[in-house]
Amino acid sequence: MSKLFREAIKLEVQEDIQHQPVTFLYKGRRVRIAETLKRWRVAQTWWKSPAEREYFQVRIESGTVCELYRNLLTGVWYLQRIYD
Amino acid sequence: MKAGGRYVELHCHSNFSLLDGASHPEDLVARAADLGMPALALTDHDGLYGAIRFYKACHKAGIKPVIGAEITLENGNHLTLLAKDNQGYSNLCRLITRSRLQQEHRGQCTGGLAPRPSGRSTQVGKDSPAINLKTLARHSAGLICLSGCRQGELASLFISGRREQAQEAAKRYSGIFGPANFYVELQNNLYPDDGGLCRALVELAGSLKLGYVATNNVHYARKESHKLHDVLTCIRDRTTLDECTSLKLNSEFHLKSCEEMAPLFQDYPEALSNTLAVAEQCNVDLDFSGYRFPEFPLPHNETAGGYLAQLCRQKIPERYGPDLIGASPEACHEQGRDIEGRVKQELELIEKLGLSAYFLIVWDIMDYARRNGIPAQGRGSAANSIVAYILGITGVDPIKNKLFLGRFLNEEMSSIPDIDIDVSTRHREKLIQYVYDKYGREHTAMVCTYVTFQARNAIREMGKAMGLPAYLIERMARSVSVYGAKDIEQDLAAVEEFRPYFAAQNSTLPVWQEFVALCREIYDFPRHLSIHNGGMLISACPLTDIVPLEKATMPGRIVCQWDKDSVADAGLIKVDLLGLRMLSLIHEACALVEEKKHDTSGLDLDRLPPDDEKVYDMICRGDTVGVFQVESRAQMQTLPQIKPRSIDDLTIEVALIRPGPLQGNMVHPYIKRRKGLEKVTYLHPGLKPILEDTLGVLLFQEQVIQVAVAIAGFTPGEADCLRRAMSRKRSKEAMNEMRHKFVDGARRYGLETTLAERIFAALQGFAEYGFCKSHAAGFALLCYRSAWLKKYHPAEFCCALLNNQPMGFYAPEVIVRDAKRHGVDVLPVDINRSDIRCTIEEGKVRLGLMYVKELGEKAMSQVIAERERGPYLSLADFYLRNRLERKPVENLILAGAFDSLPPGGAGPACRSRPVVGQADGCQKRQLLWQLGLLEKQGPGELPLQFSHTGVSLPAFTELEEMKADYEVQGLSTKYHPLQVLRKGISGDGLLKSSEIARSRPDTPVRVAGYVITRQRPVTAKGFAFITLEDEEGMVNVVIRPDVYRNYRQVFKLEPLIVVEGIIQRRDNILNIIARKLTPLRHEEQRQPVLSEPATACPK
Repeated sequence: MSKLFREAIKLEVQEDIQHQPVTFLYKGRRVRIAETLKRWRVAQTWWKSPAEREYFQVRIESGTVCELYRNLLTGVWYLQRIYD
Repeated sequence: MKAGGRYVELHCHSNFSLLDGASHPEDLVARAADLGMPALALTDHDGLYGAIRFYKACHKAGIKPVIGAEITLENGNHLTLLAKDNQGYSNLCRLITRSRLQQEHRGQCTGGLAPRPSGRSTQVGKDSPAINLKTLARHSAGLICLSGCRQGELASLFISGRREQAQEAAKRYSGIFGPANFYVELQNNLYPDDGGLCRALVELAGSLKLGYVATNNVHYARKESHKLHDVLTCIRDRTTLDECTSLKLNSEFHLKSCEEMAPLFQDYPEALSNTLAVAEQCNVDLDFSGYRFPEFPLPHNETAGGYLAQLCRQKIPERYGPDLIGASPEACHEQGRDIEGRVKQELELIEKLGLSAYFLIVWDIMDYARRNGIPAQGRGSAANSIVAYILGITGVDPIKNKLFLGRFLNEEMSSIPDIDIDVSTRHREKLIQYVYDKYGREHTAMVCTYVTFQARNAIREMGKAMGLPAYLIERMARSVSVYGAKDIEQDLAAVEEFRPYFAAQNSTLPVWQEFVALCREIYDFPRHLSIHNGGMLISACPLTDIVPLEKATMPGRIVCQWDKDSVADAGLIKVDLLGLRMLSLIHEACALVEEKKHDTSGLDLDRLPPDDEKVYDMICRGDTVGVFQVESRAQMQTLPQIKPRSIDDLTIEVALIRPGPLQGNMVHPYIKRRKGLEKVTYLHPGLKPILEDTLGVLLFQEQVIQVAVAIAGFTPGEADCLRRAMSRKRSKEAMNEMRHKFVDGARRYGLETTLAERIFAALQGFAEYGFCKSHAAGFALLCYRSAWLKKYHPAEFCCALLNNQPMGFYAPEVIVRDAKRHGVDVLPVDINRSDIRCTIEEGKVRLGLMYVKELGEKAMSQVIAERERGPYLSLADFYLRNRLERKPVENLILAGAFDSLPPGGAGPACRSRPVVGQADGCQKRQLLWQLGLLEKQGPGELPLQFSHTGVSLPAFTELEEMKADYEVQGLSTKYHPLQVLRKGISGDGLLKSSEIARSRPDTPVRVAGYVITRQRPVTAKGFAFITLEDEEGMVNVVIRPDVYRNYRQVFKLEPLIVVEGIIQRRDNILNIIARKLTPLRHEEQRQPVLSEPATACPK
C-alpha cells in the first residue's frame, strides 16, 4: 500500500551535480536519501499543458520508500507518494 | 578522437520507419556527426528504404554507415540486424523480402505498401511483415544480431518475469548467429523499469558469455522532435493525441552523445565501448554498378556492341530510305555521309561508355511494342540520339531537327543516361509484363515512390491528430498551395479568417503555433509507398541480393524498396515505361475514325500532311482544349502571338510556354522578336549558328551545352555539368567556379571578359525555364497529331478524350462544353444505349456508364451483359434483372439514364401542368419513388403495377436537375451552371462572355462565371489567373497581387464567382484585369434560387 498525494507536495531538495536528490526537507526535518531504486522521466501532454518530470523512487535512511519528482520545466521538486 | 567518439548509435529509426521515425536519414547523420560519432547505424522497421540516402549522407559527412534493419519475427518480437559485409547485406535483403512477400501465407494480404497497422504491438497483423526462425537461420551469415528493444524477445520475457525462457531464447539466437555475432542489447530510455531490465540482461549476458551493447532506440535526431513522433504515432493509429494510448512515455529517444549515454550505463562501461567494436566490424559497399545490365541474348559469337552496330546498319534504310530516295544524288550522298558519320560516332561513344547492352534492352522493348501495336515512343533527351531514332526508340530525326547529342551522351558522363519510354496508358501493363517475362521475375521489379507529406495532407493529418476542428482544418488545407509546406504559416496567416489563430501575440492558442511548426517539420516525410509511374529495375544478379522487394497494392505487382533516386545512386539502371494518356487517346480516336470510315487499312498518323493550314489556324486561335501540351491558359494566350505554323514552331511553343515567366505577363524576348518588335541580334557572331532557329534567344538545354562548347571550349561533358549546375538548386560557390572557367575559356577563344560575363549571365538567366529540345520535339509531334484529330474528327477526339480521363488541363465538363461549342452533340447516359466507355452514336458522343458514380466495373459489365438478352423496358425491368444496390440505380436515374424509356413503362406521367424552370426529365422523381417500392418487394413477389399505385410528384426543376447531374457524374450534358443560375440574377450590369468579347478595351465590366482553372504560379510574381466559363464561352481573368491579397479566399474556394474589372486587349487576346471578386452565392439576397448551399454547386 502507499499514500498517493493527489496534489503533490512541494519539496525543498538538495541535489547533486546531476540533479539527483540527496536530502529533502519534510515536515521540518531533513531527510537523507539512502538509495535510488528507480528513476524515470515523463514528457507528456505537450499540446495542452506540457508536463516534463523526472521521477525518483528512493529509500530514505529510515527505510521508507518515497516517490519524488522534479518538474523539468521549472526545476521545482515535489513529493508524490510515500510507500508503507 | 573526440569525446563523442566513444559511442556509436546502433539502433536508429529514420522516417523510413514509416510513421514511426521523426527525422530524415540526412538529419540523423548530420546530428551524429555533430555529436562526434565515428559511425551510425540505420535500422528501420523491416525495410531498407532509406539505406541509400543514409549511405550517401554518411559518406558526405565523413562517418561510417552501418546498414541494418529492425526486423519483426512471427511471434511479434523485434530483432536488430546489422550487415557486417555484403554477404550480410544480401541476406538482410533476402530476409526482408521473404518477410514481406510471404505475408499471404499468414492471411489475406491487403498490400505490403500500406502503412503498418496500429502500433509496434506484439501482435503481428495479417498484412505485417514477419520472419520465422528457420528463414532467419538460413540467411544469418554476415549479420550481427542485437537482441532488440523492449519488444525484443529477451527484454519482453524479462519484463514478464520469465527469466529461464529468456535464457533459452538467448541461447537460440546465439546458436543462429554464432556467439561472436550475437549481442544482448541494453536500452535505458528512462522508463521506470529500464534500470532493472538492463541489470538482468547484463547478468544474462555474463552467464552465457555473450557480449552486450547499449543502444538508445533512436526515433528522432533531436529531443524536440518527440512531439512530431507523437503526432506520427497518432496518424499511424488513426487517433488523436488525447485519445492515443501508444505514445511514448517521454522524449528520450533522440540521438545521444557519449556524455549523455555514459551516466545511463555507468555500471556497464563495456556497453558503450562495444558499440565501437561492432561498428568496426561492419563494412558494406552499396555500389552495385557492376550488376547493372542483365544479359541480353545475343547471336552466336556476337558482342553487344557488334550486334547494336549490325542492327543500326540494317535499319538505316528503314528510317532514311524514303528521304534518300527522293533526294538528288548529291544531296543523297551528302545526307548518307552525315548519317553514317553520326551513327559511327555515336556507336563508338556508346561502346566506350559500356551502354550497348542498355540500348539493346530498350530497343527490344520498343520492338515488342511495335510488333504488338502498342503505341509507344521514347521521350526526353534520348531523342538527341540517332541510334535511338534508327532503332525506332524515338520518333524525332535528330539530323533534321538539328538535335545535339551531348545533352544525352558524352564521354564524361558519370551516371547512366535515361531512356524513358512513353507508352499508351491502356497498353502499359502488357509492356511491363513483357519485361518481366523476358528477364525473369527475379531480376525485375518496379521502382517504388514515396508518397510524402505536402502542405495539404500535412495540414489535414496533423490537424486530425491534434484534434483541431475538422471544418477549419479542411478550409485551411484548401487555402494553401498544394505543395511546399515551408510557408504554411505565412500562407494561413495571410487569410483574414485564420489570422486570429496565428497572431504572434496570441499566446492563448499555443496549439496553433505547434500545429504550423509541426506541419513544417513533417513536410516531405514519406507517408507510405506507392508504385513509381513506370520505372522498372532490371539487374544482372537476382534483385533480392541488392534490395528488398515487397508487394504493391496492385495484385501480383512487386516493387523494390528504393525509389528512382536510390536506384540511380546505387548504380543500377531502370527503364521508365511511363503511361501517357495522350498516346492512348490518339490510338483510340484513330480507331474510332477508322470505324466511321469503315476503313480497315488504318489511319496512319505518320503520314499526315505536316503543314495542314486549317489545323494551324485552329491552334493559332488558341482553340486548343484537349490538344496535347498547348491547352493551358498560358498556352492559349500565347498561341495567337507566336502563331506557330510548323512542327518546329510547335517545338518552341511547347518548350517556351510552361508555368513560368510568361504567366506574369512578362513578354518573353522570343515573342517580341517573333512579332518583329525587337531586332534579332547575337551577343557574339559565334552564337548565330546555335541560336538562329530561336531568333537569337536561348530556349533549349542543348543550346547551353553548344554555347559552352563553342564559346568557352568546354567539352560536351563539362558543358552538360554546367547545364545541370544551372538547373538545379545552385550553390553560389559552384556557380562562381563555373563562371571563372567559362570566362577563362572564352578569353582563350578571343572574347573579352565583359562579353564572356554577359554570355554567361544569359546562360544563367535561362536556367529557370530551359527545356530539352529533343523532348519538346517529340511532344510537338503529338501536339500536332492531337490538333489534327480535334480539327477533322472532333466527335471522335472528344469521345477518346473523355475515355482517357483524367488527363490534361480540363475537367470532363469543360471538354463536353467545348465539344458542344464545336458542334459536337454529347448525349447523356442511356441505360439501353451507353457502353461502359463513351461511344460514337451517329456522329454524336454518347456518355458511357463509367461516368456515373458508384456504379463500379462489375455492375457495369453486368448491366451490359444482361442487356444483350434484350433491351430494358422499364425501371422495374432493369431493377429485377440486375438487382443492383440502391445508390448506383439512384445515380443512373439522376443521370437521366432512364429518360428515354416511354413514360408508360416507367409509371404515371408527372403533373401535366408546366412548372416554371421544369426540366425535360420529368420522370426522375417518379422513378426514385418507384425504386423505393421496388426495394421493398421481396424476391418471388409479383411485380408491382405502377400505373395502379400512381402518385403525382412534381418534376425536377432545371436547377435540381443540373445539381443531380453534377452530383452523380461530375458534368451535365444539358446545362451550364450559369445558364440555370442566370435566370435568377438580375441584369445588373452582368455581361456574358460573348458580350465581353465585343467590348472595347478599358471598359469596366462585371461578369459571372464558373471557375474552370485557377492558377497562381510561383514564377508569376504574385499574379493569379482564373479562367471563367459561362454558357457561351470562356473569359480570362488576371488578378494583380494587391487584388489577390484581398480576395484570396474567393479565389481559392468559390466555384462560381462574379468578377468586376477592366477589359484589356492585346494581340486579339482579351483579359479582364480584376478589381474585385465576389462569390456568386452572395447574390442570394436578391434571388432565393441561389441560396442553395455551396456544396451542391459543382466544384
